[in-house]
Amino acid sequence: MRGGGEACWRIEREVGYVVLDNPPMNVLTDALRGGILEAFEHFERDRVRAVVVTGAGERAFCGGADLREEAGLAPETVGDFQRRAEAVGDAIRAFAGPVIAAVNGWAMGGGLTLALWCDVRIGSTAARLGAVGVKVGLIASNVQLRRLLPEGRARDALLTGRTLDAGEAYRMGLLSAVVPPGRLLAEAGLWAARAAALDPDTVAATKRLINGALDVTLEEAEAQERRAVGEGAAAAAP
Amino acid sequence: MSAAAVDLAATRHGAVAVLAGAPGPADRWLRALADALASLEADRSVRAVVVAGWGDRPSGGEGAAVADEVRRRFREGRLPVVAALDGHVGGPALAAVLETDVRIAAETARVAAAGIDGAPARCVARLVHLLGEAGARDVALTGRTLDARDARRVGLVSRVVPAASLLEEARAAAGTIASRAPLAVAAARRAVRQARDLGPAAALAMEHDLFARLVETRDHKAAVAAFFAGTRPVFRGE
Repeated sequence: MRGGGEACWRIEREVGYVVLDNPPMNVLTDALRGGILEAFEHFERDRVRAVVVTGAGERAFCGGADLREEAGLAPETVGDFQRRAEAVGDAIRAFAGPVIAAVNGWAMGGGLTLALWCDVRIGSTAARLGAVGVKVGLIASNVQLRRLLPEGRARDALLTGRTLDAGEAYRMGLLSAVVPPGRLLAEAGLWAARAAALDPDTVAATKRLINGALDVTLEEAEAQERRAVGEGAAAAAP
Repeated sequence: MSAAAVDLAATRHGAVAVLAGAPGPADRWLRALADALASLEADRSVRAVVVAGWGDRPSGGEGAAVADEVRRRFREGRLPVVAALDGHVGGPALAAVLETDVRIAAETARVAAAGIDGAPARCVARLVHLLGEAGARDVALTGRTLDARDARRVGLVSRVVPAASLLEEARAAAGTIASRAPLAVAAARRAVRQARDLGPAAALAMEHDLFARLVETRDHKAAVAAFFAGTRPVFRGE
């Protein structure tokens, strides 16, 4: 395990692991964001096939932005702050393989946004998700929730800011599986290993298509799909 | 003997036609399905269709091309389609079934959408628009097989029923649709398909236009008269 600010990362059998380690709530400081970005740079260079992101300890996946950093923001610095936060989401979406969030506890505010940028979320029974922007007079997770979920469910989560426990998040489709806390990392590792065993070009083409599919009409998304299938067939031809 | 006679059995239950497929490769079955749908389109006494037999079909050489034709028929055709899913549904059969109006699964059904040869599965764009990104990433990016309950949770099927009652449940669902005012059903199908791509203002304008036309129909006036008379309306599609 190597330190990268407060995000620790390692690579095991083509799977990259990032642990958000900033107790007690693993809040996102600039150092932590920098560590995540550094980890993904290494993962890309080392041709890692799938990534697991999780929080250190048992209490939180990620408690969101550091309110002390946020309190220091001025109109002229808020844009930079947002760009630094966005860079993490961009890195996750641009990474060629699946990124799996192992949600081990609280994921709220910017921490929920981080989990939502991941391709798949697996929760422990202790997972608690909250789009808490409305509870602290801010806005967060809107874009992600609206892309992930049907509008009705997204409105419920965003406008109430209420806590979704693991069971409800699973039923809503925000978690793909729920396991006991002691099994979470092994389960996420299993999902990652399964993804790592797939053809990486196929996975990358599928992820690129999914990333953009909601930004265009269905017809255009299907035209992109046909082009991707054609390119795959051409590349596979002897 | 025509392909349809070999691969597909068509039965009638009032205004519902049931197309049940014999085992065999997907391309051959989808070819027969396309032909059967074409002849049902012309039969105005048919108001809804059940299609069964999606599972356990190897692709066959022409699977993708024929799946495209069936998708187009579902999308542009007059008839609402209820799909009864059992067995392992994937490949061209999955691409086609995502265009049906209602999907009901047997408890024993399974679904997988894996791409091959560096190309995404030919249903990824549709999956994203149908399920949102959360479900689509789960289904298409992990390469995993979903059981019927997981398929329902992500919104890929509406209902899961015991295998023994699958056809009966699908027929009942199709019978309900067939009992509704045909012009209203057609308008709803069109509006649902186009609502997202049109954007809110244009979608609302389309709905208002459809409403203005429906309010003048004989079926609407008959339904209002039946409501006040305490009787059941008879819809003629006029």
